Parts: sequence; structure tokens; C-alpha cells
Amino acid sequence: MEKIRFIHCADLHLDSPFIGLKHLPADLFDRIQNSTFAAFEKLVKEAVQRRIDFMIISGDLFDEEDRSIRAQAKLLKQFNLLDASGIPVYVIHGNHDHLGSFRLNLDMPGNVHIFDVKTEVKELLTKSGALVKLAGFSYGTRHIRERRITDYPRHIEADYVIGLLHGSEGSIHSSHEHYAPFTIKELKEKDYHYWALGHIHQRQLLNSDPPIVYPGNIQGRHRKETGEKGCYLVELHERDAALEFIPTQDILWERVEVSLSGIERFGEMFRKIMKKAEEYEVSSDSLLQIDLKDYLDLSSEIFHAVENGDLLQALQADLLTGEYSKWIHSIKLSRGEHVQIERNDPFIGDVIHELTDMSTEAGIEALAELYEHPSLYRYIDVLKEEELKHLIEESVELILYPAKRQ
Amino acid sequence: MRLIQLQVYGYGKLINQEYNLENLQLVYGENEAGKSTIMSFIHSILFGFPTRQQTQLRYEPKRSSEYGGKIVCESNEFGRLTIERVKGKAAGDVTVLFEDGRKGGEEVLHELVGKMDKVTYQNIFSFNLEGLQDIHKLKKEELNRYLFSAGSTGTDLLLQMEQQWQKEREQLFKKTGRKPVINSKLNELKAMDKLVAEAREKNKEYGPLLEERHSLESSICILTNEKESLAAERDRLYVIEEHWDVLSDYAAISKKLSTMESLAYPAKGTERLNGLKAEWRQTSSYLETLISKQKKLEEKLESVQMHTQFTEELHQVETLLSQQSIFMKWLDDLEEIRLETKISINRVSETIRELNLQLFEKDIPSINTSLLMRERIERSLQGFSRLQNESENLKKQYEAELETMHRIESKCDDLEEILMKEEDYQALQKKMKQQSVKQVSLQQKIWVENQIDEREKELRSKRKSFSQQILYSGIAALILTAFLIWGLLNDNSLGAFLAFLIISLLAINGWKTRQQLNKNTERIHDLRRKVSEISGGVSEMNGEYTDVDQAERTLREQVDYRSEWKQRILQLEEQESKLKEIQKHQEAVQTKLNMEIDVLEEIKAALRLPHEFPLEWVKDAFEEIKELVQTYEKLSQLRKDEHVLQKKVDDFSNRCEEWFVGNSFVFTTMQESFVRMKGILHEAEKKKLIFEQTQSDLEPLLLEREQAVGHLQKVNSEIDSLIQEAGCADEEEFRKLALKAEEREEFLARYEGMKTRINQHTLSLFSSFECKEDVTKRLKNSVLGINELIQEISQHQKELASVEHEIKRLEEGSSYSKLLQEFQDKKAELQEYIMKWSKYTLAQESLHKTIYHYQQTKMPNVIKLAEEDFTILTNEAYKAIHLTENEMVEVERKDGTRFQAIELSQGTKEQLYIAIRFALVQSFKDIYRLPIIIDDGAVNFDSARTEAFVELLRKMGKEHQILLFTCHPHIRDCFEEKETLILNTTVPV
Repeated sequence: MEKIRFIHCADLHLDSPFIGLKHLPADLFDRIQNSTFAAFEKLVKEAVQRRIDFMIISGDLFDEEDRSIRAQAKLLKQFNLLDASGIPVYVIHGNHDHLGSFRLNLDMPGNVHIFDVKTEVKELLTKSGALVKLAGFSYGTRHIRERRITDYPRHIEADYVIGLLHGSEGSIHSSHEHYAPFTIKELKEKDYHYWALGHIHQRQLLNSDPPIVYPGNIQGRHRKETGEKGCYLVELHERDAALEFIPTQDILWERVEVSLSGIERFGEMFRKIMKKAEEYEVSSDSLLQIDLKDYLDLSSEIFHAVENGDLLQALQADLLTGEYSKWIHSIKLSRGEHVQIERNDPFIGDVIHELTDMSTEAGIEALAELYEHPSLYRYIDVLKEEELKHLIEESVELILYPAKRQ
Repeated sequence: MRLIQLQVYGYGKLINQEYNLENLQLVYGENEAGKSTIMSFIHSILFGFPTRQQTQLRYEPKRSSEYGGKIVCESNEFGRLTIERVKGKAAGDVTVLFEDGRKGGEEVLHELVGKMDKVTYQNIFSFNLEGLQDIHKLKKEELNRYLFSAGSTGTDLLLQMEQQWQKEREQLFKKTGRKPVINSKLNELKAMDKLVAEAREKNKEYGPLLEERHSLESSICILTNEKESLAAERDRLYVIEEHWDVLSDYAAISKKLSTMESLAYPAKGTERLNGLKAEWRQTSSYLETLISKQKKLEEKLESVQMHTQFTEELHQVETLLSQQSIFMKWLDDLEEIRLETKISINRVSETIRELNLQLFEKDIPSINTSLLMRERIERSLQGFSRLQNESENLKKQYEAELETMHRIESKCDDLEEILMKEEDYQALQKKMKQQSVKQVSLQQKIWVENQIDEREKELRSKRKSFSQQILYSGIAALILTAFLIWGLLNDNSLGAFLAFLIISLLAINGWKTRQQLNKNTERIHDLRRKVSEISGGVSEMNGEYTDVDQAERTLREQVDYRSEWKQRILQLEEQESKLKEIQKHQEAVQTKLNMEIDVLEEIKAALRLPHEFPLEWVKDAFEEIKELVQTYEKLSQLRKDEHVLQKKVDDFSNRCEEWFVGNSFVFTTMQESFVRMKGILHEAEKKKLIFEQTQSDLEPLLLEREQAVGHLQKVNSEIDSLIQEAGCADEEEFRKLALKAEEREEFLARYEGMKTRINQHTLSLFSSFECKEDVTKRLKNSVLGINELIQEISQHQKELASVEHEIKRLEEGSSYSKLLQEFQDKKAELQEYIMKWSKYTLAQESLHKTIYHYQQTKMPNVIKLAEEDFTILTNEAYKAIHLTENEMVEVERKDGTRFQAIELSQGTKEQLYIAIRFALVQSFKDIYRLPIIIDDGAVNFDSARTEAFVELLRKMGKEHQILLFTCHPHIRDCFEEKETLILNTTVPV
């Protein structure tokens, strides 16, 4: 049997804005705006250079609401490039770019094969003569909550069978919504050679034989999507699979922990953070989040400077030196060092207990005034458990260290 | 826990102080006595020194390097222990020392104080006047709340914070309002959302825009094409209009040209002809020049050329001249010969004179000078001279012999005189003979004697050996005889025979030897006899010895004389015969000589020598004559040569003269003529040279001429062919044709010139018009049409541009993305504010909930305790404390009247405060048993209530240690002395 080599990527989210950034400098703003394109261009370049047999994109090429013409025009350009190199592209649409959403009537080149809303199997004969069959479906609407995995045919006759699926594995807890859920067992039962998944932005290998892979997105889009992002170059030879991760991100999101213990002056703190950030090793231009640790000993003025954004402003005003440019986008106080609540005032202890024991519903109820405000709710993301937890932590701190607030 | 002793190393102004504390301890001191310092010291030792970041004073001693101190205390769980805290890290270094010697650190202390921190401790167990005094300022509700919060937690901070939270929340968000941050941000976001929505709406325009672009593009394309074709037509029409005349002209010319098309005139005929003509002219003139040149050269040649005859003559001259040297030699030779002749004549005559020869010159050749003659002369002369010599010799010989004979005669005479007479001589001779015989006998005797001696000796030895031999032989014979006998006896015949043989042999031997001996003896006898004979003769001789010598000498002389004399006689005889012979010989020679002289005389005559000419010189004369003959011969030869030469010279001269005369030259002498001839020859040579030169010059000229002629012919033929090519008979016709062709060329040039300017379309269009007016009309129409189209196109292009711009904006334009990003940024900002708000809200919410919980559960208990305390403090003036629905505190007087806290008097308010605080401490007694620290708690109390306060303290003191700090003497007075610690102001300032 001939070998096949292909690139598997997903969640391009072309031209979708970065979330949670504010006061961006103009040049960085432009850079960020282009980063998803840059990442995809890099990916296509790699594909052409490495002469892969074909490419798989497992959904979410765009964000439905934010799908820009620019994004589509650029995507088309890249597809044309692939077409020129004779590389077929297999695309399924995901929840963010479902087929029901607004689409341009762009003539896709012949090498682009888009899966239908109904699960279908496409055939490909590679240049080296391997017969590859690809099974998958595209989202027709935004929300697909049924278990579409059952539609995938079993035991397909071919040299290689690859499943394309945009959805979430049942066991994964993530901030991503649960769509087209499935279990690893279900996938394995299909007896495919490779499962090209999409939807989860965090890169992960669910299984190695056969490989069941979330390649993650190709460019981190907010502070939580840290680390290298990219695609997988997959080489299948019968049942053997070799996966090579190719980083594509144009801008890295990273977190830098800085301990502030023993810091007494603002300048000291500033320098320490700058130093840490400069020393932090990255593989490309980066957006940094500074996680401050051991900040409880800070004097109130300094802490205030951290809280009210003076520190961030100062940090952003100064350019970081180094091989790659880095920009500090935010400063977070790293909670987690749970102060001994017991030792405190019993009343405060009770208050904190009250807080930490707060259920999500109670929390949402407590915040309903704002979250359910008729003109606000549209712009506020639904409060998730995780976020609530974080909020509660912050509130606890507020109560425990009231001195810092004065 | 109970504090027993405070040991201050250095804290504030307290240095090295020690205080013992009772269960209920009053610390009295005036202002600045150090009450606050002690309170702070206790706090600091138990909970750590205030850090630099905290607002509290650190009380670092100014006059001592030591900072800190020690507290000795007692606890139910741990017993007695010592807590020491000294300067160290921020909060100081703490050491807890147990009774049993164990040591501990911060954790043990932490455990000891019930895991309480300083703030909480202060909130619950220590209260100062501030808290009490603040009550004055509080409003009704606030007081209520304060009391409530104090009652429930001992702190008002949280409630203060809660107020702040509320404020913050309100600043952030109000349900209805525009000013709060979130509200305003929301409005901004809304506005932006609208923009985004609009932008997105625009995205939908993209498709139609594309279509529109397409249709616009195609229509523009069509219109442009239309316009272009019209414009082309218009341009052509313009051209036609403008160049109407030219075009007409062009048409005419082209017509004319078409008629002239058949003209067959070679290209550039005229030029070619002219060229050829010019060439012809050039060549012919060149030829002429050549011919004249040739002529000149030929003339020159003519002038130089000589007659052939003369040339031959020249040969003659040359020959003559070449013979000049020979001629000269001839002359020289002639001269020489003449000279030689003269010499020869002289010599001949000289020789004749010399020899006095009897002849004339002409007879000379008749003289025989042959070799034979010479031989004859030689021979004769030789013979003559030999004979002459011989006769001479003989003469001399004769004389010598004669002399010799005379000498011998003389000598003989001498000898005759000396000689003895014959008889004397005979005698003497005889005497001499006898003498010699005697001499010989003597010698014989000596010899025989010697021999006798010898024989005798030999005989003796022989005799001796013979006797011995006899002896031995006898013995042997004896033995053998014995043997013989034995043999005979024993019949041994052989042995006996042998023995007999041997005996006989011995006997023979012995006999022989005897014989020999006898012989020897006889010989000796003979010899002795001889000796005696001899000795007789010898003895006679001895007497006459001297006389013999004399005679002998004389005899010997006479012998010699005699032999000499005999010899001389012989010689003389010989000499006489010899003389006779010589005389005979002389006579023979003389005859021969005479014969010879005759021969010679004969020869002389033959040689014509004079008669008197000596014979001896004949030979020389012969030589002379011979030479003469030779000279004469040579002379005659010379004469002959001279004659020949002369003839040659004459011939040559004659020839020269003849030639000279023949060539009409004046012949003078030979020398001159030679010079002359040379001149002639030289001239001829020069001429010849010139001739040759000229000829050589002429040769290339001829060649050149030939070439020129050829070239000319070629030119001629070319001209002919050119004319023929043009189809003309002659040049004139050709010239005519040329004129015509030129005309056509001109037309053609004009035609071409026009053609470049006029294109085919124009022409075809032109041909469709009859007159200029039509053109103008049509032109007008075209221009109008074009203008219309241009307008239309520009309209379309404008539209297209805007559409394209729109498309580009949508495709390239990041405005939408930018807007989105900005929207996200705003959203992020809003989110942050929301989070902030949520944080406060949650904190507030939980606080409220806790408070509610407390109200429901803990508060009744506390209130009950507080009621008790309050009753005591007010000497039972008040009997109850109530909590209202709206978190208000109310008190009930004995009479049942209820008062709100605010309504109470200052003292009562303070009492209420203290009652609630005490109740709070009591409510925690199961959890914490820590010392209560009160700072001037009963300032505004009257004496009855002060006592009640002290009573309450004592009651409280059962459960807790109480440290009361005051500067008021009346309070001091309520306590026993041992309970009172008086701080001296005199203690270090």
C-alpha cells in the first residue's frame, strides 16, 4: 500500500477578532488583524513545500457572524495556490461557518471539495496511487446537538479511510459548546485510519491507534489560547501513522508568572516584570499576560497601581527588547494561593464560606440585575461556571484584603 | 490565655521594663506615660511587629538597638510559656519557650492565639475610645448598623467596605442611567454594534456588486469598441476632408502610373550609362596616353639602336681589343728574341774566336757533335791519359826498383864483411851439437831414478798383502780340506767337489800374485841399470859448461848473418828481373800511346780545331763546340721566331689599319687606335644599356595598353548590353527612355510618399465618395456619435469605479475587520467592568446573606448576653435589647419604653456599645479565651455605673483576663492596689 501524506487543520477562524484585548497600539492592531491570514498562509506554504497529497480542514473556517469578504477573498486565494500545486482540499463546515449562514458566491477552484450537510463519503486517488476515502458532513445550522457520529458508515473499503468531524468528544470539559457529541469508543468502532476532528481549539490527541486528533486552531485568538498553534502533517502507511506538528501561529499568546515577594517599590516591581517578560522565551512574536504571584505583601499604593492599570500602562509604554517583539496585553493577579480562611475573623470566614459555596444559579441570580438587563445581555457572554468561580475568587480577595482597597 | 509578665527589651520609649500582670489589671498612667506603647507591645509580641506597609506605628526604640521583648503567659492547653519576639524579618523573629524547655515558632504562637490575626483580635478583644467616640457622629441608622455589626463581628470595616462596594457598583452600573461606566460603555457598544451590523449588511452587497461590475465592464467594452471604430472612421474622414486634393492627386497619379507600368527601363539606367560612358572616356584617354608614351620610347629606342654591321664590327673591335694584350706581348717577345739573337750571335762568334775554329758560321751545323763523337773523344782521351800515366808509372817504378837494387847490393856487401869463414863456422857448429846431447842424458837419469823409487814403494805394499793372502787362503784351504775329507768320507761328493774347487782357486790366486811380484822386481832392476848408464854420460858434461855459452852466442849470431845474407842475395836477383820486365812494359805502352795520339789528331781535325790545339783540351773544346752548335741552333730558332712574330704583329697592325680605314677612321699608331677602339666600345656599351632600359620600359607599357584596350572593349560591350536591355537601338533612344523613366520615378516617389500617409482604409473610404461635401456631412455625424459614446462610457466608468472601489473596500478593506476588532475591544473593556461590578456584587451579596444568617442564628444569643451586660452596666435601668426588622437596635427601659440607639445618652450609648462588645467576647468564649484590652472604657460613666462597669469587669474577669488602660484617677480608685499598675511619667520621656 502506498503512503499518504496530508495536512490536517481546523478552526481557522479567519479574520475573526482577538477577544479580550483593549488599548492595542495601531501597528499591533494591524498585525493581529492579519494574524489568522498569516497563519493560514504559512500553513499553505508548508503544504506546497512538503508536497502533501491533500489537505483536510475540519470546520470553522470563519466565524459566522464576522465572516468578512476579505477573509473569503483571501481564503480563495490560498485555495487557488493549493490548486496550482495540485493539492486537493477537503472541507467540512462547522458551527461557526455552517452552510446556512451568509455566504458569498465565490467560485471555489476545482481542488476544493466541500462536504454536504448529509454525511457523505468522498473518494480520492493520490498521485502515488493510494485510494483514500473521506467521510464527513458540514453543519447546516449553527447548533447540531444530535449524535451525528451514528451516520458515519462502518468498514469502508479503501486503502485509507479518514473521518472528518466537527464536534466535541463527550468527556472533554471545555469552554466550547457541545456539538455533535461523540465518544472515542464510537470513533474506534468505525474502523477508520484517521479521525480528523475540529472544534476544540486546544490541540490534543485523543487516541493514537487510530489517531483521533484535534489539531487545535492555527492561531490563538485570546489570552487563554496559549502556546504554539498549528496543524498536523500526517503520514499514513497502512496502520502506521506519523504525526508532525507544524506551528503556524503568527502571534503567540503566552503567560508569564512573576512573583512579587519582597517587592517594596513600584520601580522594583516594574523592572522585575519587564525583566521576566524579556527573558521569557518565545518562538514568535507574542502577546503576554503577566500573572502576578505573591502580591499580598505589596503595599497598598503599589497594589493600587496594579489594580487601576497604572502598571499595565507603564509596561505597555516601554517596549520589550528581544528577538521577537512581545507586548504585554494584561496583568492578572494569580489567585489560587488560597489564604487560610479559618484563621480569620469568624464572621469574615462565614462570609467567604457563603461566597465559595455559592452555586452557579445563585451567582447568576445575584448578578441577574446586570446580566439580564434588557439592553446589556446581548453583549455579555453567558456567565459560565468557570467565570463565576473566578469572580468568586476575586470577591474573596476583596473581602480578605480590604486594606488594599483603601 | 493569661498574660503574667511583660518584659520589654526595647519598644518605643520603653527600654528594659518589666511589668507583672494580674487577671484583672488596671494600667494607670498619665498622658505619655506609655499606655498605648504597652498595648501596642502586647499586640506586637503576639501578632508580630507592624510591617512597613501597614499604617500602625512600629514603635522602634530610638535610644536602643534592641527591639522587642518577651511575654510570660499561661494557657489551659500549653501551661506556662514565654513568648519572645525580637527584630528580625518584617514581623520579627519569635521564639516560644515551653516550661519543659521545648521551643516553638510562629506556628505555636498562632495556635496559642486561636489562629487569630491582629485585626480580628483587635476587633473582638480590644476596644478603644475611638469606637466609642465615633458613636457621637453616627446617624441613627448608621449607629444601628454599626452597633449591629460591632455586635456581630466586632468590626465595622466590613460594613464600611460594603458601603464602598455599593458606591463602586453604582459608579459602574445602574439599572437606569447613562452616567455609570457600564451604561455609557454599553451605549458606545450599541453604537458600534450598529456600525458592525451596517458593515455586515454591506457584505451582502458584495454579490450584486460583482454582478454589476461584470455588466458594467462588458458594456464599457462594447461601447469602447463601438467608439473606437467610429473614431477610426472619423479620423479617416478627417484625413479625407483635409487631404481631399492630395487624395485626388494620388488617385490621378496612380492612374497614370498604371498606364506607365509596361515601361521596361533598367533600374538606374541613366546613371549606369553615364558611369559606363565616363569609364569609357577615362579608359580611352588613358589608352592614348599609353600610346604616346610608347611612341616616345620607341623613338628613343630607334635613336639608340646601332646598325647590325656596326655591331659585327664591334665584335671585331672587341676581338682586336681583346688581342691587345697579346699584341703587346708579341712586341715584347719580339724585343726579347732580338736581344737573345744578339747574345747568341755574340756567343757564337766568341766561341769560334776562342777556339780559333777553322770555319764559318754556316758550317757550324756540319760539325759532328754527336754522342758517338763525344764517346770517341772521351775514350781516346782516356786511353791517352791512361797510357801516359802508365808510362809515367813504369818509369817511376823502374827508378824505384833500380834504387832498391842498389840498396840491396850495398847491404850485401856489408854482410859479407861481417861473415866468418866457413871452416870456423863448421867447427863451432859441431861443438854446440855435443853440448846439447849431454844435457839430455842428465835429465833422463833424474827421471829414471824417480821411477825406481816409485816401483819399490809399490813392490813393498804388494808383498805385504800377498803374505796376508797366503794366510787366509791357507786357513780356508785347511777348512775346506777338512770339509773335503768329511765330504769324501760321508759320500758327499758335491760338497767335496765344491771344496776342492775353492782350494784350487785359492791356490791359483796365490800363485799369480807371486808371479806379479817377481815381474815388478825385475823392472826395478832394469831401471836401476839405466840410471847408472845415464849418470855416466852426465858426469862428463859438467866440465865444459862456460865455454859453451860463448860459442853458442856466437854461433847464433853467425847463423842470423848468414840467413840475412842469403836473403839479400835472393833479393838482388829478383830485383834485376823485375827491372828488365819493366823496361819491356815501357816499350809496349809507348807504342800504344802513339796510336792514341793519332786518333786524337784525327778527331781534332774533325772538330775543325786548329792543328796546334792541345790534345788535352779537346774534350772541353768538344763541349764548347757542342754548346756552340746548340747556340747556333737556338739562334736559328730565334731568328725563325722573330720572323713569325714580326709577321703576326704586322698582320695584326694591318688588320687594325684595315678596319680603321674601313670605318673611315684615321689610323695613326696602334696605341692610339687601341684607345680609340676602347672609346668606341664604351659608347656602344652605353647605347646598348639605354636600349635595353628602354625596351624594358616599353614592355609593361605594352601590357598596360593591351589591358586598357581590353577594358575599353568591355565597357563598350556593357554599354551595348545596357542599351539592349532597355530595348533601345542606340544611346539616343536610351536617353529618351531614361527621361520617361525618370518621370515615372518621380510619380512613383510621390505615389509612395502619399501612400505612407494615406492608408488603405482611408483610400477605400475615399473612393466611396463623390465629392467633398458628402464627407463633411458624414464627419459631422460621426463626431456627434463619438461624443455621445464617450459620455456614455465615462458614465459607465464612473459607475464601475465606484463599484470597484466598493468591491475592493469589501475585499481588501480591513475596515470591517477593524470594526469587529474594535467592537471586540470595547466588548472586552465592557466585560472587564462587568466583572468588576460582578465582583463587588457577589461580595456584597454574600455579606448580606451572612448578615442575614447571623441575624437569624447568632444574633439572638449575642443580644441576650448583651442584655445581661447592659442591665448590669445600667444598674438595671434597661432590661432588654431588641433587633428590629430593618436591622435596627432598640433598647427597652425598665418601664418598657423602647429607644433607638441614637436616642440614648452618650454614656448609655457607650454602655450599650460595651455591653454588646462584651456579649460578643462572651459568645466567642468557647472558641477564644484571650485577654481583653480596653482603652479608657468608662470615661463618660457616672460613679454608680462605673462601679457597675467594674463589677461587670470582675464578672468578665472570671472567663478572661482584662487589661484596662486609663488615665482617670477615679477609675483607678475603684481598683485594689495590687490590681493597679501605675506608669510613671518620670519614666523615660
